[in-house]
Formats: sequence, structure tokens, C-alpha cells
Amino acid sequence: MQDLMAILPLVATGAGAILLMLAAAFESFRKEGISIMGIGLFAFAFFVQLAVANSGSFAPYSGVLNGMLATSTFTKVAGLIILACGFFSAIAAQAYFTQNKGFVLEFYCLMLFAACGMLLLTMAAELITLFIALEIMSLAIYALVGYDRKSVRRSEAVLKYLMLGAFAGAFYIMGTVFIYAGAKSTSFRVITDVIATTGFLSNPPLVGGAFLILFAFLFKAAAFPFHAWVVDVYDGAPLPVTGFMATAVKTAVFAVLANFLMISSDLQAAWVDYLFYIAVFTMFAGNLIAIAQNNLKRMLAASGIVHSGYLIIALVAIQAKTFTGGAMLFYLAAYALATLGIFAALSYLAGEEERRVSFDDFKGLARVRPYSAACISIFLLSMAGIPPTAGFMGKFYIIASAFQAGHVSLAILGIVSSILSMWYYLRLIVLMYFREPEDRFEVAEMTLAPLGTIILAICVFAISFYPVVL
Amino acid sequence: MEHLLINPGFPLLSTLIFLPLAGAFLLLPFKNDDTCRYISLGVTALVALISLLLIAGFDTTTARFQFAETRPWIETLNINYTIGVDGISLLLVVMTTLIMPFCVLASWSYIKVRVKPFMICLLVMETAMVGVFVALDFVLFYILWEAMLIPMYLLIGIWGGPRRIYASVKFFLYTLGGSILLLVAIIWLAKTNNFSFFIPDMMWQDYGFRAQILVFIAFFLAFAIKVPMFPFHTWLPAAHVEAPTAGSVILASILLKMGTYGFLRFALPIVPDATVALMPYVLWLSIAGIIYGGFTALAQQDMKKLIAYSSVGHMGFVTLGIFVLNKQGIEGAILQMINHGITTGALFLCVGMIYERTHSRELSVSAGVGKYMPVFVTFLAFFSLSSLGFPGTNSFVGEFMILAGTFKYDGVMHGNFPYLALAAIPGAVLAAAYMLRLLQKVVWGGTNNPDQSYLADLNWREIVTLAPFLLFVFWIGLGAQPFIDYMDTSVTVLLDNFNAHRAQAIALAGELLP
Amino acid sequence: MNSPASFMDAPALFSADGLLGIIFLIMIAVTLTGGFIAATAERLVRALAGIVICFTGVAGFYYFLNSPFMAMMQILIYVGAICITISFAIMLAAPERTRKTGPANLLSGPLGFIIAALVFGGMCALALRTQWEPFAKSATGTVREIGIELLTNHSMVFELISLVLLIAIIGAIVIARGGRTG
Repeated sequence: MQDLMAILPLVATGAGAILLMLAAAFESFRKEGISIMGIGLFAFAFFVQLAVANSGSFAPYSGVLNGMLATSTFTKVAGLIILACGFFSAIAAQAYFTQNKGFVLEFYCLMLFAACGMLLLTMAAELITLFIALEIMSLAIYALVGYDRKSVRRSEAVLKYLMLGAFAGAFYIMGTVFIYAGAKSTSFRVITDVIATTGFLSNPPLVGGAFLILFAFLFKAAAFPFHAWVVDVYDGAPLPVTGFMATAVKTAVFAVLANFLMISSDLQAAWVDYLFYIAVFTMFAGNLIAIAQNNLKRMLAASGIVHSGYLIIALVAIQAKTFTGGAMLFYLAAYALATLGIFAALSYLAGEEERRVSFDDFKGLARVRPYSAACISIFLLSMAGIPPTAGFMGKFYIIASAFQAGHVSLAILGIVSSILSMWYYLRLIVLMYFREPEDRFEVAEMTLAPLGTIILAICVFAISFYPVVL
Repeated sequence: MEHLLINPGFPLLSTLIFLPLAGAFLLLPFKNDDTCRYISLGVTALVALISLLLIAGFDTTTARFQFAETRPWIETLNINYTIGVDGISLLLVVMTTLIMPFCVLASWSYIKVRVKPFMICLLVMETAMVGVFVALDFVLFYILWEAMLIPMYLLIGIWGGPRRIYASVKFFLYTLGGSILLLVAIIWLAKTNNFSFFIPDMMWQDYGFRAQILVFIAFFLAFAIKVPMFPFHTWLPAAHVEAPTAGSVILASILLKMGTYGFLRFALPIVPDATVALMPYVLWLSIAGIIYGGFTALAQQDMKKLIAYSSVGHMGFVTLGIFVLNKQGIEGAILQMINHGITTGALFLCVGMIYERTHSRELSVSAGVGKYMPVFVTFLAFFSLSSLGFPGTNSFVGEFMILAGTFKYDGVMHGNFPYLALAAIPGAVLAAAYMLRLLQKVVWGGTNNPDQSYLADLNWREIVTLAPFLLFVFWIGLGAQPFIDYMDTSVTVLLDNFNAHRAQAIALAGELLP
Repeated sequence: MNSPASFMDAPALFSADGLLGIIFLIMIAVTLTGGFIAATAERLVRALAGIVICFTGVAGFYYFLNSPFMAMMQILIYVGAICITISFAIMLAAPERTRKTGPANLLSGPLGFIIAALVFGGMCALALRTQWEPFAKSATGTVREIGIELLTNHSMVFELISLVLLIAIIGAIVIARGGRTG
């Protein structure tokens, strides 16, 4: 029964999506109903995952499936974060669709499928399963990004993402082939054994394969030097999708990276030096890009690069034997809360056709909508890592883990980067609070997004003071 | 827990921390501005009254942390919610809580728009400020230390003067930037102490000289910017000038003290060898601050700027007192922190009252208001005299003790010629010069005073706001001993430990350490 | 076969191994040429033709990898079905001849070339340095074996591929319908 338990969230999301499609076949079941059902399905999957989270770690169906999946506390919590991201993105989408046209049904289906792929990604313990999971996630996200063919920005976004994503996929396959050549298996468990007996650096196909696979996932994680696509793609995607991509995809990708690096401490040790520089460059490149932006979405996209940098610090600090992923998961949760919060707020504040997305559009928001402005400020401060928000605690854990792993300079650079990032986060707060409003900020009523925003804002403090994830 | 003295019964300190926060939440549903004002006043006054219980229950015979509370918080990293007061922090805590009601009073008519958010900011500030002084867990300390910036930033940025955005962002980035390395130092210290973030655990350990120097530099950047010490002071005039009155008062009376408190609480006990090694530089920076602050204040036309620069000078005295490392110096420094809080806070209140009437902070605009506002100038006169250290007022006692400590330090370090003390004394003269200039201008002005017949003298609310400050000016000025008694044991123990540690370090390292 | 192969101990040209080698090289050439045409052609139809050539070459690889079934499927599905479908799509779609590209970034061309060259060089070095060991032939690549493999060891993946297809269909519908209804 445990086997079934472990894959139950997968079933819940996948079957939920199909159920949604079937239900939508009834004429009476329209936009609002679909939204509510989509949100409900994510909530359901989240609680299923929560129930599963207590069932220990093992490889489900290892007899039949040859150890293709493996669960641990790490994967389960990552799954929780992903489903929570889906839930809040769905709430944001509901507000978004009251003000924008779109394919509501397909949208929620694809979100659920994407979540299914992400859950698989976190659990995959074998390279081919991993690839299929990656494709499930990526395909769904491609479609979500580019659903509006008429919009030039959206087409540009989807084309860039698709092309580069395909390249990353090809690199991944190439890496799998090399690893198969080196280890004669695609299963993580066997690869671990092979590295333990032959060593990592003395086995060139493994080195090349690991390089290519890291390459592919660092691309998905938007790490330097594979970060250039992020800004255009995030900008082109619809608001809730951007939020979903920035949080859930990132969680899944970093879960994979951590799982993959944990295969063997030799493997990790071989790449730590490079990851070190990648972390530093990612943080600073992201900051430089973010400082130059005038569009809120693009700024958030660029700040997403910076946050990837912090997460790579956590990767550098992984110690294969004692890994619990606590610091990384907490950071992901904290980052997800803040990002989802901003996107939830934006999805109702932006208005029809995403009218308000530049910094100047939010002048004086605090006068007209004080609670929204306060929530956005909380999210921004959390992203910037100002105490007492969750973002600070996340940075604190990551820096502490970098210290434990002996990377003091990385810790210092991380803090320097967070000070730099204050610059563009503060800018929005200045505009919202210290300027007079020019806009009346009418938004559609009867949406769940404001409620979701406030819940997220409370969560920012709640998980800061009660870090349950750890 | 040998360091903690847990008084059974009511958790006083937690009440002091969380009551203002609860008050902030209480304000949320109210729409009426006056209701918000009264509620805030009530909450801050209640907190002030409760804090008097601290004074009543404080045991002056022990240097342990009293009224301590500790409960686990983040167990995986061994971070606890640990708080407590000793002689060093007690007076600062009580000063904070006592000043807050007057900040609310001072904003009564000064703040006309968005009253509720303003009061919420004040109350959140109070939570963070009290928390900083009582936190005994380094993570808790750091969180509150940084969290304080946000409400202050909003206070300056929303309700401030014309250049408020520049001032608020400068304040925020400057102070945030200063604390970068503090966090790194905290984590390093915890790591070397088996991941204990309990502050007393970190004290009097052997970290090695090089590490101590690095940690000291991290501390110094964070605290010196907050104080602010001489080359790091540029954010202060901007922030003071643009902040609303209550903001200026909080900034001058409480926020600046956190820097000097940080030196006393952290730099001395945690990195004593580095403190001794770098002491001369800090001392000369203090002297530079005193002289520089004095001269700059002398040249100001803007009253708030004048007082802001005088703060740089006064805080120079405080750091001087701390780093001469003897009992008179440190006790004088703590007393001077309180004095500066009272006097400068009151001066900012005075300037705010004038500003409400003339809408200008220029000295020339306010010249000669003495004719129409006799009560006001009486207050102003006393506070100015206090600020320049006139005998009989509070600052005289503090500065006298600091200078006595400085002479003693000179006696030890420089043979018998008191270089340092002689260098500091012009500061006191300068203080007299710029404060008397301010007073002369405001009370009498010149022959071409602007027409001020429209000015009304202080109303009852304003008199009630200023009177308690005056009371303390003379209370401390004429009978400082009770105040010193509260800190005496803690300071003595601090210095004893310090000297013991030094003796040990010298015995170990011979002549290596200066 | 433990030492890396060199040109000196290659089989004679007109032996059976030698002929196979030549056919293998031809397959490589076909694949690369097809890929090159597909990537550089300006007209879609030509690019499609390139893909057909490329896929055919890949089918040859499968044959050399002891998977005649896979080779057949490659031709049947990719060349026969997919490419034909694409050609229908191209024929049915309105021809759009607008070619708009942004101003080329002076840096990106050479930089991209250098990075690609580095990766390629790295791969070459890896290929040449490694002491490749041929795997023991594990199967004959028949339909039966593939079927058993797909329904036992890789049943999970097999199931999941249906999900991939479903998503692809939904995505295609969403993007294709984008212009018409809303």
C-alpha cells in the first residue's frame, strides 16, 4: 500500500486534469466552475501529498518498476511546495481570467499536468524517467506560455523557451547516453555503486555525462550563463504562468539538481568549484539585469535569476552524507511564498490585458489600496531578505549551510548580493508609498486573488517564526 | 543557565516587546484618526508604566541577566527566543518605553494625513527597539536590528520633508549595508561555539587574534554606522532633517544608542583583544567626530541639521567613554546615552513645535520668537544648556565622567600628558558655541527679525510633552547616583572579566598583543 | 579491444567489416547533411526534406545498434508519418514570407561559436580519451524483447509517454486555436 501512497499525488494531479476535461464537457459547467474546480483539485492534491508526507522514504514499486522512483522527506516536501505553488497560481489565474480572455479549461489542465511532471521530477531516480518527467513538465509549460498565438510578445517567449528548452533536452539526452556508457545503467542507485568502485574522475564518460545533465538543468534553473532567456520568457508569459514557472518549476528543477548531485559525493565534489563560480555570477548577473528593468514582470524575472544564485549556494553546500535539503527547501518555500504573492497581487491589480506592469503604474498604490500595497511590500522585503520575513530566514539557513560547508566567501558574496538587490525592491516600495496616485486601480471584484495574497503575506511571517519545513 | 536570572511570574519583557505590536494590530480596524491617536497613546503609556516595574524589581547586586525568558524557537539550528536585561540595557529599555508616549504626543497635530499607518509604524518601531535592547540570542537580535529599518524607512519616506525619498533610501541602504558583515560574523561566532547563538556563550572565548580583528571590523561597521561615528555619519543629517518630529526623536534618542549599546554588549566581551588593539583608532575617530560635529553644527542655518550634527559630536563623547575602557568612562558613556536621548530628543521636539507654526526650520525664520513664545524659549533654553553640558544639568554629569575616564586612560597610556582629553575638550567648548548661537538667535534674534506676531505659545499638550524631559534633565543633573547604581554592578563585572581575559591573553601571547 | 582503436589496426577496406564501416560512415554523412540542410534552409519545405534525410540516417544507426525493429519504426513513423504530417501542415498554412530578425549582436555570434567549439572539443576529447568497452550484446532487438522491456522494467515510462502525448495534443489545440476563438 505504501507504493500506492507514494504515487497517489501523481495520480491525483494527472487524473484530476483528465477529470476536469471530462467535467467541462457539460455545457453548464463554465469558466467560473472550471476555475473553482482547478483550484479545488490543487488543494486536494496538496492534502494528498500532505498525507503522504508522513510515510517515510523508500522506492515505490521497486519490484516492478526497477527502482525508477524514490521518495524521501526531501522529495515529499518539495512536492508539497510544488502543489502549494500550483494552488496559489490557480487562485491567481482565477482573478486573471476574470479580466483577460483565455482558454480556462486547457489552462488548468495544463497546470495540473505540469504539476504532475514536477512531482515526477522530484521523485525520479532513473535518468529515462527523469527525462519523461522533464518533458511532461516542459511541454505543459510551453503551451501555457504561448497559448495566445496572436500576441507577439507571447510568441517570442514561447519560441525562445521552446528552442532553448529543446536544446537543453538534447543535452540531457546526450548526457544520459554518456552516463549509460560509463555506468551501464541509468538508475541512480547503480550509478552510485559504479562511482564508488571506479571513482568519478577516472571515468570520463560519467564526467561528460554529468556535465551535460547539469548543463541541461542549470539552463532550466536560469543559472549563469544560461540565464538570458528568462527575462523575455517570463515577461511574455501570462501573469499566473510566470508565477508558476518562477516558483514550481524552480522547485522541481532544484530538487532534481540536488537529487542528482547527491548520487555521489565524488560527483558533487567534482563540480563544486564550478558551481561556486556559477552561483556568484548568477547572483550578480541577475542583479545587474534587474536593476536595469522598468517593467515589474521583467524585474521579477531577473530577481528570479538572483534567487537561483542563492539556491546554487545551497547546492554547493550540500554534503551528500548528511543532506536533508532543509535549507534549500526552506528557501524555496520562502521564495515561492513571496513570488506567488506578488503574482497573485499583480494578477488582479494589473487589470485587463495586463495594463499595469511597469513600475510607474504602481505609483501611490498605498493610498488607494493600502492592504495590497502592504502585502506587496511584505513580499518584496521577503525577497530582499529583510528580517523578520521568511526570506531572511531562508537566506540565513543558506548562509549558515555555506558556513558549515566551509564556503565563507560565498556566504559573504550572497549577503552583498542581497544588499544590491534592495535597490530594485525598494524602488517599488518607494513608488507605492511615497508618491501620489495617478490611477484609481479599479479591478474586477469577486476574485479569490486578494484573499490568496493576504494568506500568503501571513504565511511569509508564519513560516519565518515557525519554520516547519526544517 | 548561569547567565540568566529567571524571575518567576509575569513575563515582563515579553509584554514590553509584544504589547506595542498587539496595539498595532488593534489599530487596524479603526478608521477615525483621533481614535488611533488615543489608542496609540494608551498603548505606549501602558508600556511605559509596565517598564517601571522593571526598575522596581531590578536587582542591582548582580550582573546576570534579569527578568530573563527563554524558549526554544528554531531547534534545528539551536536558535532560541532568549531575552533579559542587565545594568547596561535596563536604562536604555526604560528610556525607550518612556520616550514613546511623547513621540505619539508630538505627532498629535504634526501628522495630519494617514494617521493610522503612522501610529502603526511607531508601535512596530517600539517592539523592535525594545527587542534589540533585551535580545540575548544573536539571531533574534539581528532580526530585530534589521526589522527596525522598515518602519523607520516608512516614517521618513511617507511623512518626511521634501527630500524624503533620498533621505529614506540613503538611511535604509546605509544602515543595511553596514550590517552585511554583522550577519557573517554572527554565523561565524555561532559556528565556532558549537552553533550556539546565545550571546553570553560567545563572550570571553579564545577566538585567536586574527579572527577577533575580523569580527571586530564586522561589528564596527554595523555599529559605527548606527552611532554614527565620524566618517560614517553622512546619512544622519539627511535622515534627521527629512524625518517627521517623532521620527527624529526616535532616531536621535533611541536608534543611535543601539550602535553604542552594540559596542558595549558585543565588541568588548566577544572580541576584547581586538578591542584593545584597535582602541586607539576608535578613540581618535571619536575625537574627530566630536570636533567635526561641533564645527559643522556651528555653520548650520537649519535647526534640525544643527542638532543632528551636534548629535555626531555627543555620540563621539559616548564612544570615547566606551573605548577608554575604565569604569568612569563606561558608566559615563551609558549615562551620556541616556542624557543624549533626553536632551536631543527634547530639542527635536522643540524644533518640531516651531516647525508646526512657521513651517520652516531655518534659523532666520525663527529668529526672535522669544518675544511671542516665552514658555517655549524657556524650555528651549534649559535643553540647550543641557546639551552643552552646563553644570547642574544631566549632560554635565555624563561628560564629566567621560572626561574623567579619558584623563585616567591618558594617565595609563600616554604617561602623564593627557593628549586625548585635551583633544576632546574643544568639543565641549564648541558645543557651548553652537548651542548658545542657536539659543541667542531663537530667543532674541537680531534687528531684522521676521514678523512673528501670529505665533501662539505652547498649548497644554505640548507643555505636557516637554515637561517630563525637563524633569529628567535636572534629576540626572542633580542626583545621578541612583541611575549609576543600576549599571554599576554590570559595568564592574564587565571590566573585571575584560581585565581577566586580557591578563590571560597577555600571559599566553607575551608581548605580541598591544 | 581494450586499447583505443586507431587507423592502423582498422579492418581492410574490402572485407565484410570494412564495407560495414563504410556504410556506417555514409550513415553519419547522411545524418549530418540532413541536419545541416534542415537547419540552414530558408524555405520550410526544404528544411522538411532535410529532416527526412536526417531521420533516414538515424534509422541506419539503429540498424547498426542491433535494433532492426527500431530502424524500421524510425522510417515508418518519423519519415513516413510525422514528416508527411508536417508537410501537410506546411501546405495548408498560409505562406508567411516575412523575415524579420533583430539586429545581430556583434558579440553573440563569435561567443556562441567559441562556446560551441569548446563543447565540441570537450566531447571529442572525451570520446578519444576514453577506453570504450563494448557492452555485452544483451538482446537481439526484436519486437518481443522490446515489448517485454516496455511492460516490465520501463512500464512506468511507457505509461507516462501517454501523458506526454496527451499534453502535446492539448498544447497543440490551445496554440492552434489561439487566433480564432477566445
